Amino acid sequence: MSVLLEARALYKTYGRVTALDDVFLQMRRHEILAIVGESGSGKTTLLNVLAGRIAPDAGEVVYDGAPLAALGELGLRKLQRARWGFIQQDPRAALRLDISAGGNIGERLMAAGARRYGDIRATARHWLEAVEIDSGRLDDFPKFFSGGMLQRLQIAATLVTEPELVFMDEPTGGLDVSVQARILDLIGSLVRQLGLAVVLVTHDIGVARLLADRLIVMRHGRIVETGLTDQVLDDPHHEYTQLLVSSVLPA
Amino acid sequence: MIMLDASDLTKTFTLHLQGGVRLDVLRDNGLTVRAGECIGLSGPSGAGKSTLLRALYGNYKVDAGEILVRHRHEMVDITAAPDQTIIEVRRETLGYVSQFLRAVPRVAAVDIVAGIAGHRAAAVAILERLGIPPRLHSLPPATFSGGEQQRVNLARAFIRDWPILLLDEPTASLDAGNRDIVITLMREAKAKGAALVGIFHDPFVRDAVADSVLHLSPVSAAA
Repeated sequence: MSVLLEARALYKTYGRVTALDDVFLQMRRHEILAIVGESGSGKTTLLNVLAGRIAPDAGEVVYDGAPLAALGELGLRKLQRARWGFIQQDPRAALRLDISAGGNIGERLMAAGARRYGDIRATARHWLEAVEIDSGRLDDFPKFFSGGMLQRLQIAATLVTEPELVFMDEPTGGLDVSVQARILDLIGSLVRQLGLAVVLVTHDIGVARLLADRLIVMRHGRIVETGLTDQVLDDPHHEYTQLLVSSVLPA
Repeated sequence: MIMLDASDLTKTFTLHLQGGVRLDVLRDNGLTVRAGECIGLSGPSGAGKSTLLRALYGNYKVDAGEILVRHRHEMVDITAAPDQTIIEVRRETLGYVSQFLRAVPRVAAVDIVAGIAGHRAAAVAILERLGIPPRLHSLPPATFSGGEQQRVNLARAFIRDWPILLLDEPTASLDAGNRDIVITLMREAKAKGAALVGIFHDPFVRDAVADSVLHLSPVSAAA
C-alpha cells in the first residue's frame, strides 16, 4: 500500500529550543500512528507541522505524493477542509459556543459544499447520534454542554466531512477518567468503521496502546524509538522509552 | 507443510534503568511447526518460554535469528518485515492468546469477540461454548472474574480459524470443565490444519494437545 503522509528531515527551532530535529516518518491509509513523549518533547510541534499549521525551518511534509509547501495557501486550506480533520484537546477552541450544536456540524458541511438545509440538518442529527449525543440537543448551544459532550461534538463536527486523515492532539486530555473511556471507545470504533488514518498525539501510554497500530516516541525534538505499538511498549530498547513505560502506574 | 520456522533466535534485554544490566534470555533457540501440529514449550520459570512465544508474534524483537511465517503462500520473516506487513500477518495469519484480556473499557464482551468484522452470531456461539452465559454478553468484561475474562480472550481467538495460533497459558485460570472445552477447541483447530505453539503448565493439557515438547533451559551466564 502506498504512503499517505510522509515527513522528511524536519527541523524546527523556537529561539534556542529545538522542537524538531531531523524527523522522518511515513504512514499509510487506515493506519493509526501515535506520537508520545513528555511536555516539551516536540510532539505537538510535529503534529502541527504535519497538519500544515506550522511551517518547518527545513525539511518537507508530503501528502499523497504532493509536498505541502508546493500546494500554496489555498491548496493547503482546501486539503485541510476537504480531506483532513483536526481534533484539539480543548473543544472550546474548535467549536463556536454561540451557535447551536447542529450549526457547528452544519457549518463544516457547508464549508465542504453542502447547500440543502434539510440534508444538512439530517446529517447533523445523524452525527450527533453517532457520538452518543441525544439528537434532541440539535438546537442547543454547546456552551451548556459538559466537557465530555463538547469533545464528542467536536468529533462529530470533524468527521461529518468524511476526512481520510484526522490529526488528534490529546483528545482525552482535560477530561475525567470515566469520560475518557467513553471518548476512547468512541474514537476507536469510529476510526475503524470509517477506515480513517489518524495521527494521535498523547502523553498517555494507555491511550496509545488501545488505539494505535504504530508508535513514535519523541524526546528533545528527536524520534528516539519507533515501531509497532505493542513492540515498543512491551520491549522498549531506548533508555527514555524504558523510563516512560516503567513510570506508568498499573491500572 | 511448514507453517512456522524459527531458527537461531537470540534475545538479550538491556535494562537501562538498572545500570545497563544485560539479561540473556534466548540463545540460538528455534522450532519448526507444521500444519495440524502443536508444539508445547516447557522449562523452568525464567527459561524464556514467554519470551520465545512473544518473539514469534513480533511482540519482542530478537537480536539475531529468523522467524519465517507462512503468510499468503509465502514465507515472511517476522524479524525483518516492515511494521505494516506484521500488522497484516497478525490480522490474517498469526493469532495470539495472551494470559490477560486487554480491551477498550466500555466495549461489550460480544463486540470484543466479534471484532470489527462484526460476526455477532458466531461471537455468541463461541462465548456460549466457553460457558459465558448470555446475560454477560452485552457487558464489558472489566468486571468479570479472571476465568471469565480469560474465556472471552479465548473466544476472541477461537472465533476464527487461524493458520497459526500462539497460546500463553490458555487454561491457567480455568476449572476442569472449561479446561476440557479449551482442549477440544485446540484439537479442532489442529484438525483444521492450524499450527499451534503453546505454553501449558498443566501436564494434562500438554499431553492432550502437544505432539512434541520443546524444553528450554535458562541461558547460563558462563556460556
